Amino acid sequence: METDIELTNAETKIKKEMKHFMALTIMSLAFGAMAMAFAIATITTNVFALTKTVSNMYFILFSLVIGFVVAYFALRYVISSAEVMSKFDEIQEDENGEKNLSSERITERIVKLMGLYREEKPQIKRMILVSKIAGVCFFANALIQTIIVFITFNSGTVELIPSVGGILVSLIMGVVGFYLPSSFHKYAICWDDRLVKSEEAEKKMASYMEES
Amino acid sequence: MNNRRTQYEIYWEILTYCKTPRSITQIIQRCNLNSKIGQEYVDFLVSKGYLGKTMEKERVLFTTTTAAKGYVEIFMKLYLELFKNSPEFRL
Repeated sequence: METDIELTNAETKIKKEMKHFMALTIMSLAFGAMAMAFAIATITTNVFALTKTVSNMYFILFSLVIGFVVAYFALRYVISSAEVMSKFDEIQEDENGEKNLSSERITERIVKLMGLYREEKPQIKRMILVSKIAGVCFFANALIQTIIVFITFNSGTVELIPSVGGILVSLIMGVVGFYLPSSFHKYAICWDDRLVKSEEAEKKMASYMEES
Repeated sequence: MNNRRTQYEIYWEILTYCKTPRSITQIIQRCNLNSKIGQEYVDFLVSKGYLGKTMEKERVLFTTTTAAKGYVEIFMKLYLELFKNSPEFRL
């Protein structure tokens, strides 16, 4: 009876965790795609601005550099997210909507998840780092845009509403850029702990095999 | 999926798969191993008495023995425990 309850708990936990992780990966994929679109838009706008005006040239050049940096990291981020998602999806597909899985099937799922984490650990750590860098870039971009708006506001050459809109989008993307790695970090801590515990379990299994 | 698995995880996969008699080719394919490594794992499990060999139509088949029951159970118990007391995730 107790074992049945433990099994159901483990099954529910695994399913919930897989669902949340999948949602997080989809969010990170969307974030990466948006970041890339935003970076390309920034590059295009600033290239046009560069051909039209020589004032604020350094700010425009700086925005361009940030745009390129974000575009590069966003592309890497999208690729990493897609890779993790595809491997994770493979494990989820095996489940095929089954309910009340046997202890064997649950253990099989745990083994697959452990393997996936061991394999994707560097990738997930990279995603955490890249997302933070993208977040910093978005905040920097918001700051630069704000400075440009302040400088050019009196000259009447700037359209306020689109500029403020751009700043807000940058700020939101910056916040998301920090939120996603913090969520991935929670998973990473939990899985690192499981890996440590699995090493302890290995020792127990090794001694069991020696004795038998 | 070519995941990074530990040797104990591979042993467990082989033992679970061989509940019904299987050939070495089936084991290698199902557990995603190369033939050399796969053979080494199977030989080890045979030497421990966890896998039994039978002949069927000139083919060697491997079947999990009752001696492996303890290992399979301890493995499942320890791995299920990994999810005990783990935090619940919220977005």
